Amino acid sequence: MTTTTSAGAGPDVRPIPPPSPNPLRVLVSPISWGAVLYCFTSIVGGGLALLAGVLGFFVLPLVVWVTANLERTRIVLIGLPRLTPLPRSGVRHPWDTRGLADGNLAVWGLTVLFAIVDAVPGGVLAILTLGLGQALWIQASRSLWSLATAVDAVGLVVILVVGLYVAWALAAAQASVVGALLRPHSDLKQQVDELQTSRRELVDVFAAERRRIEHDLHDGAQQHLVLLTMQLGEADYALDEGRIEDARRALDAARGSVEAAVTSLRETVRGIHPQILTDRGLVPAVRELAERQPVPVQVEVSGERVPSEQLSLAAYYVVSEAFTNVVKHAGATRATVRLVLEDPLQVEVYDDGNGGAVVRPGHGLSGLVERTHALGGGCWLSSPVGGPTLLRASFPSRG
Amino acid sequence: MRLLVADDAALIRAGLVGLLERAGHEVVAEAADAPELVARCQRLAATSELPDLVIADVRMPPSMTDDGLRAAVQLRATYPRLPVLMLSQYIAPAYAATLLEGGTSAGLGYLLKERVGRVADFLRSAELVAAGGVVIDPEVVGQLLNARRGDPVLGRLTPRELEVLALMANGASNAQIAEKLVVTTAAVAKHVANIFAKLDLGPSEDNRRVRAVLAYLNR
Repeated sequence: MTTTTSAGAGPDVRPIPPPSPNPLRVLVSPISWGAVLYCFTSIVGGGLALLAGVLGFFVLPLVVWVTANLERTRIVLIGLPRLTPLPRSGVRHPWDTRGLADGNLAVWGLTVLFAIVDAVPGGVLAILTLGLGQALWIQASRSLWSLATAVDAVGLVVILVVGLYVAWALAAAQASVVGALLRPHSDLKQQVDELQTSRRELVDVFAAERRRIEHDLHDGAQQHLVLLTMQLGEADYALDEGRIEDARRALDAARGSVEAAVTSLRETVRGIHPQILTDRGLVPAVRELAERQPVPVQVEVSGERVPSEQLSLAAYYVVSEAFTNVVKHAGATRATVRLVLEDPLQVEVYDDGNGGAVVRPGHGLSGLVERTHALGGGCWLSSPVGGPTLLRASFPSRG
Repeated sequence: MRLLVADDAALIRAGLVGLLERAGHEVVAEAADAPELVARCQRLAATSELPDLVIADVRMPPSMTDDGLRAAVQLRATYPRLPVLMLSQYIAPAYAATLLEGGTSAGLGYLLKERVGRVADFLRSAELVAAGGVVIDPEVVGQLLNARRGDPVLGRLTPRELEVLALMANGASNAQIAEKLVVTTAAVAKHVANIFAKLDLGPSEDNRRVRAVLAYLNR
């Protein structure tokens, strides 16, 4: 089972490439025929957009919003990625002026304008192509071959190629303006979505963290302290009855409980924030963590960059969580930690255990994924059943 | 007494069992989670040898919330004569209310776990509950009183009477209250009579008065 997650990179921003100078290539290029289709739908769509805008003037925001969303999608005809559409909730009712925002109104105007601009060369070239094509068809069907036929045929090809270049240029122009108008809003929308998601995840991480600390305290220090009161009570009771030996035994047990409570508190505190991380930094903290594991762990460090405290803590938790997993489930005999102190900071934990680790909501590894996402980083887990397991995380230093 | 002890923490359970056995009681069964507690009780009931008292932790597996408490309520519904003493690391009047709602036809107790440390007091509480008494932790009584600050009726009580009220809710007898407050039993009896008069509660014997006080505070 392999799970891969990574923070979303920006959308693919690709302009339509310039056409080849070789006319034959243009004739067979899917982009040029896509451009013809794009220009044709521009004329039809733009005309409809204008008609809808005039007839339905009172619902212009809705018309504009629909037009802009069609334009966002239509650019796939010339091989460009679709722009993220804004959610429908952006427009509450057909005359909601928010439909005009986010570059939508400009795109509607542009669509209408391009319909008119495209219609002139489109009409001329279409008439010429159809006229010559019809003439050729008639001559061919009557088997009337002459010099005129050859001229007509060459003319048809020339006009077709010219038409394709013109369509290419017009489509490229319209698509790039539409992209320039709408992409910033699409990107913004996407970033807001990502931010909202990561913020929600962060809150979940906090809640999970608090639950974990509460559990640690309840199952650890608190139990030992309750036991301690029992043992002290028992000593007291024994003394009352003059059983000195029993009292001494109870007091010995009480000392054991105090020591256990202190140890447990130390573990809990280390789980909240390891002191050595603040005092000495990431590498000594990870080495110390590695030394405490029941299986031998090799620590490899490369790079010179000193990570920020926030990133150090995040990286430390990746290693810590991976170790927990290794010890609990993996049945490993050895593990390796690799730290790459560069930008981005990279952490890898490898073990030769049984594998089969999965990211399940509410479990340690999913907390890890959420935590790395919240820091704008990415987390990858490869853990086929039978092993080995490789956990890798990467944190950019920005922010 | 024949006891059933339920706690998921093996250390605490062993400590509790040891303490009770050294005090001369017999632990006839142990349970580490809520379903086991119910099952043990049912098995004992099948041979009509229900324990004299069940001592159980509120927070237990499987869900690690108030499973123990819910198991106790369930047991009380099946065996209304079964005395139950609940222990908890964290105390809330809501839990006490849940227990009391099930009726107090038999003994009922709700104490903070660390009260076990006052061994003599704890053993006395256990015996009181087994004998059909009601023992509610002073912490619960304190929280209930705190929640009813500004209550015009409670405001009529003197600080001494409030002290006596808390001790009564805790299940203490007049003699015990007198010992704790270093006054005569007659003085305590007078305070108690005043409290009942001010709260409009009919005077009654020890156990019923605890219930009456708690019912009043829970109202």
